[in-house]
Amino acid sequence: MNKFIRSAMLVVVCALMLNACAPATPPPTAPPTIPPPTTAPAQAPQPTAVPPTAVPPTVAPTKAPAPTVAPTAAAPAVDPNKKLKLVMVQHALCAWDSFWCVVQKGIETAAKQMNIEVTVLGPDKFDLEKTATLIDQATAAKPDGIGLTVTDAKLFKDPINRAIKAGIPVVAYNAGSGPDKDGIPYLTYIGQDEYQGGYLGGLRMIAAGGKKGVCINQQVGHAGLDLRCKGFVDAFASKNLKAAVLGITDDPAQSQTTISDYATANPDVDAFLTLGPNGANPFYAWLKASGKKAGDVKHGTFDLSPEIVTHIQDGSTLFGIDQQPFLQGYNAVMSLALLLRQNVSPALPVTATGPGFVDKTNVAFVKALAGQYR
Amino acid sequence: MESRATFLAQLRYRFADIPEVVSFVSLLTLFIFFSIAAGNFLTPMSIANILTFASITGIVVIGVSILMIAGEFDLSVGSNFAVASYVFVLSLKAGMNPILSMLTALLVSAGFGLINGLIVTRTGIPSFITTLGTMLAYRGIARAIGSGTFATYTGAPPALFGVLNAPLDAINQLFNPASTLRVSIFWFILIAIVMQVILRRTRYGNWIFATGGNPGAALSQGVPTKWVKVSAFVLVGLLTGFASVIQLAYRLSVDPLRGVGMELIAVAACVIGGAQLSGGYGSVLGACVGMLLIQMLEQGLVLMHLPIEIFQAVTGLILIIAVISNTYLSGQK
Repeated sequence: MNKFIRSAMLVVVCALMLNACAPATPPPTAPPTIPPPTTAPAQAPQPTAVPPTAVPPTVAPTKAPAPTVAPTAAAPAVDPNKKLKLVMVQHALCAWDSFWCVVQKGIETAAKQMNIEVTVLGPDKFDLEKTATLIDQATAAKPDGIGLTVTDAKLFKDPINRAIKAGIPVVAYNAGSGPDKDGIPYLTYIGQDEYQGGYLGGLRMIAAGGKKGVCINQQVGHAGLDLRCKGFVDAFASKNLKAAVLGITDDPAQSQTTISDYATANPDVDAFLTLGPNGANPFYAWLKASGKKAGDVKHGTFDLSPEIVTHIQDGSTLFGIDQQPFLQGYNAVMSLALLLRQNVSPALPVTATGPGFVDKTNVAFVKALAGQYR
Repeated sequence: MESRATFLAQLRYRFADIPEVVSFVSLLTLFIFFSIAAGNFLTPMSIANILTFASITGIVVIGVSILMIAGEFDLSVGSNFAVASYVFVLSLKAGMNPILSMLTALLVSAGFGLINGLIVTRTGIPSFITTLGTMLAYRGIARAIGSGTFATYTGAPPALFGVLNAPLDAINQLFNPASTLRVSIFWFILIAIVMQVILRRTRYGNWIFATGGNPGAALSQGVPTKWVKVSAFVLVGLLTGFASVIQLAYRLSVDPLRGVGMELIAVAACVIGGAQLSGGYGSVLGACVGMLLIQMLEQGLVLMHLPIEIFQAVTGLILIIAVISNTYLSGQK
């Protein structure tokens, strides 16, 4: 037995030494069958002024895209009826974040309409390490395509590169900054410019009379949500005003307590930005419990839900920033299907779905769609 | 009917002293099932995923299994895990020598284990309650030292990261897709072997079993049961800290919620592996197999394109079957 153990240890030590001498991993390349987009890197527009309420600001690239080049290798045969299996890996699920029910509805609608088998994977709670693990687990299943959220480009880089190196086409949706900014050669990012949303939201709250702000972040570490808060804080700083970030969780009861404690400790804070229903709902619960009325504090939020729409209508919430989650899910499946069946690639590194501002002036238009398609 | 009863009695007699038998049989059954039912299961990437992703939590599981054999729980491992990563990455960012940073993180984790052990042995408060409290307290510490936000190591990775958890590129690149084998697997195997030997072949190992099985009798035989329990808590803390620094060497970042739920996965792996909540029975090997089984289950479900939501339900079912089987085989029913 002792001899066996000594031998086992020797093997382990030898393997460690061998690995130390191994060459480093070569940089991954995009799958050979997919022509990379040749457009110039999209530059996010610099925030300038608050846009008109009814017209959602778009995040179109400042430079016109160059025409795409035909693939050098022989293109795969077009087969509009090709059977497809796709896996979507996202950092949140409908089960614990109602925002994602709309994304998943988009995914499921597209899958049904296009006759595609889609599996949605996500962690049981906000857990980026677990999400990174799920990307590798999805790659092992060798699906025809993977849609995923690039919630943390640094953490997800290796797993996404492994999928791309395995020849699996990858598109990003909801969270990401595009292949150029993220430094990962996926096909396109379908979502909104998060910084813009936060910055423009901040300017709107200042214009409404906000003097000191707080960005309430329920998923600290989510690169997109962090960017929203950065934009918000920068907007306040641009007017020589102060704003801070308050970390909460996806647990509504615990989050309500955190918001309440923060508001008690900082009574001069009058502008609150929440980053989705999981931040807005505990905020509304605190608002009700504290006896404050609509307009006592300024509140703006990202995303829409039936609760958010109700509060926009009664004046408690100035605006909801719509990123069109249904479109994100639908478009991610559609983009992969078009590529895999018709050999049509996404044209731009960023396919913008927002941000669009919904306020009292246009809320009637989206009321019936909130929580369903918006 | 009589022959069936005789067969079961013989089975029970043969396997009563092998706590890992149920976990091995379960692992084998699940392996065969996924080999048949899940496409791409018998591929290098799938197997590598199972081994690599099981290895880090597996190191924590090894410590938890020893503590459970000593008759105690530690629900604070997930929070301790987060604190160790924060200490490691923040001290690295502060310019501390990488090895010193790692030792500091390990010292903090072992210290947390010591606090758990001292509270349990000095006050007589059950470890379930004690570590429930410290789980919340340590999580609060993780949030406080991390200012409630992510901490990411952005500099050039020191050589220590390679020793802790480099990718096994020489092997990985042989396959397409390149698999995910990492050095953490070797650490997992190495620690499992060392701990299994300590548990089975040393006096300290005997003390662990004696303390968990019958503390009164052990004390009367001269076993320092309190010291044994405290040392087992320190060991869990140390292994949790080591698993944490290994993970950070790969993922390079830590968030305030890192490790949440790890304590339950660890207990589940130990129970599937044959450990009993009453103490005095179990094995490191069984717990490691239990951890591999849980990871295999997760990978297998993904490969079958089944909703990940059913993972917990299936894990729970396997857990219950394992407990019933283990209880029967150990002769308690």
